[in-house]
Amino acid sequence: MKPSQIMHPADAKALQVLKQARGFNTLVKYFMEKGDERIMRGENLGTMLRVTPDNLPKVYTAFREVVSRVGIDEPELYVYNDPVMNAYTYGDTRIFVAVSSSLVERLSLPELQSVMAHECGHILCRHTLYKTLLYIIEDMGKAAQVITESLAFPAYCALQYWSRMSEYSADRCAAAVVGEQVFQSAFLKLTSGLTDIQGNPYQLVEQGKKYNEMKNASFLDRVQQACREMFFSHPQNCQRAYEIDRWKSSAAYRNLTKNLSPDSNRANIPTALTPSKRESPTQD
Amino acid sequence: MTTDKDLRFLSSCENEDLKVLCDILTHDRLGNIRITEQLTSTDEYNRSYPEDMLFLVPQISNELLKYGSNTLSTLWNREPDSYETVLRRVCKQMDVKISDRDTITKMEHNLLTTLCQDTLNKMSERELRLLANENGIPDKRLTRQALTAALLMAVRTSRAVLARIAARIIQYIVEIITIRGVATAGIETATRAVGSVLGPIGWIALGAWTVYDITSPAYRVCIPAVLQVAYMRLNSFDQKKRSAA
Repeated sequence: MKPSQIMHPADAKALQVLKQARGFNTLVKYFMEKGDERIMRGENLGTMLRVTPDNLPKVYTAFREVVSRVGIDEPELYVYNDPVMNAYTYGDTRIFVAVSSSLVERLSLPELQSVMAHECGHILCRHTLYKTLLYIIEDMGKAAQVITESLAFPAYCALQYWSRMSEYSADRCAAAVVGEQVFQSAFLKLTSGLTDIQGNPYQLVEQGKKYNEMKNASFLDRVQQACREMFFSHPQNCQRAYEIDRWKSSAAYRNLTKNLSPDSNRANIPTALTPSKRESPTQD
Repeated sequence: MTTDKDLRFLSSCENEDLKVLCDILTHDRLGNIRITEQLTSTDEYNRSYPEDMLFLVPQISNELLKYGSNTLSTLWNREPDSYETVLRRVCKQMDVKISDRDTITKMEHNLLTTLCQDTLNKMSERELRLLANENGIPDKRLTRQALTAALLMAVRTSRAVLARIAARIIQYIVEIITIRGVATAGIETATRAVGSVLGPIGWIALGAWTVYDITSPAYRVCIPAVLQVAYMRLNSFDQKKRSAA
């Protein structure tokens, strides 16, 4: 899979602008490699459970399958103890994916793969580097007071906008890897926090349509909703579901799902993944 | 969404040609998405690109006209300028001689001919001989000058030769225009830097100039796009003629 195949146009445009700050990017990358990545790895090893073929074989196999379909180097996978269903990834050189324990417990394996594929989408598009820029600006404004919040505000808002757009790209990766139906069912659970939801599996898409109608009904609505959304790092859940529903009719989605379908890909997964011929976990 | 009357012929064009036109509007020559484009976010683009481009014709023509119009006037009128207006602007920008009475076909023909002439003058002798061979012009005894003159004559007199040569060199032309566009932008920036030291009046003039520049037609996009449209019209005209014969 190539980043251009899954990248949302708004994400691609914003990334193009961000890439122009070359010196700053190199600096951030350097500090990530020498600082944050090492610190977070310590934190991961210290406080989370690293997933191996021995402790969570199904989860590990599912993750390897996703990584193989996305076509990235295998990141480290961790599970952390949290009742909130969530996951995140970090790193540009030494990358990891962390999923909350409730995700593993409440989602089916394909749905869990959808979340993993979403994080792998961020890795594929190298979003983490630019998200770090966002955190740095946020920290400089809020915590360190190096530059005042009002000065950092425009840059912060611009990066938050990009962050929202980048989520659409990662969602596309998830939909391409597991199929849009599984994506929608996982998203229903993530939105509601419930595991058994009856009725239309596309109810969030319908909600998304209604939300857009409401948002575009008047100038006041547009301004109010835009102001409400501008501080979020993620788009509204119903909009994410709606965006994937729109994208599913594209040739890009059709081609990707054809090439990445589990049947066509299972042959490419190393036999070492099967329980009988497991690899021993990498010693750290 | 209605299609401009002069761009309705796009509905009878080939999928591949429409895809090229769409790509010119949405991506730069390095393959990066254009920051100001609005086509790729539409449902129609999602559904139709790249296999069913005919369904995208109204959106493509609208995008082309938006690029060729002044942004402020588009905001005010809610409608972009007509294709004829955009074409006239492009011809003026490219120093192509046209009159007020010229039809769309005539203006496009002049535009293509002028650009073909410019390109032929810049081509190497080897490229010229290849082109002459492809168009049935005997090249063995001809010097470079004679070869150029023969090809120029063929371009002026035969629509079929013009179409063939235009098809071959359109990519070359698009590249020249893009490079030229970047170079001009560099010169303008340098001139503007001088303006910035002229004090408050200079700053106001500079601000107005910048707003005018930002909102004025995006020639870097609309010139190659209009060229592609001109080529497609020429091609479709020839195809109709051939099928009628």
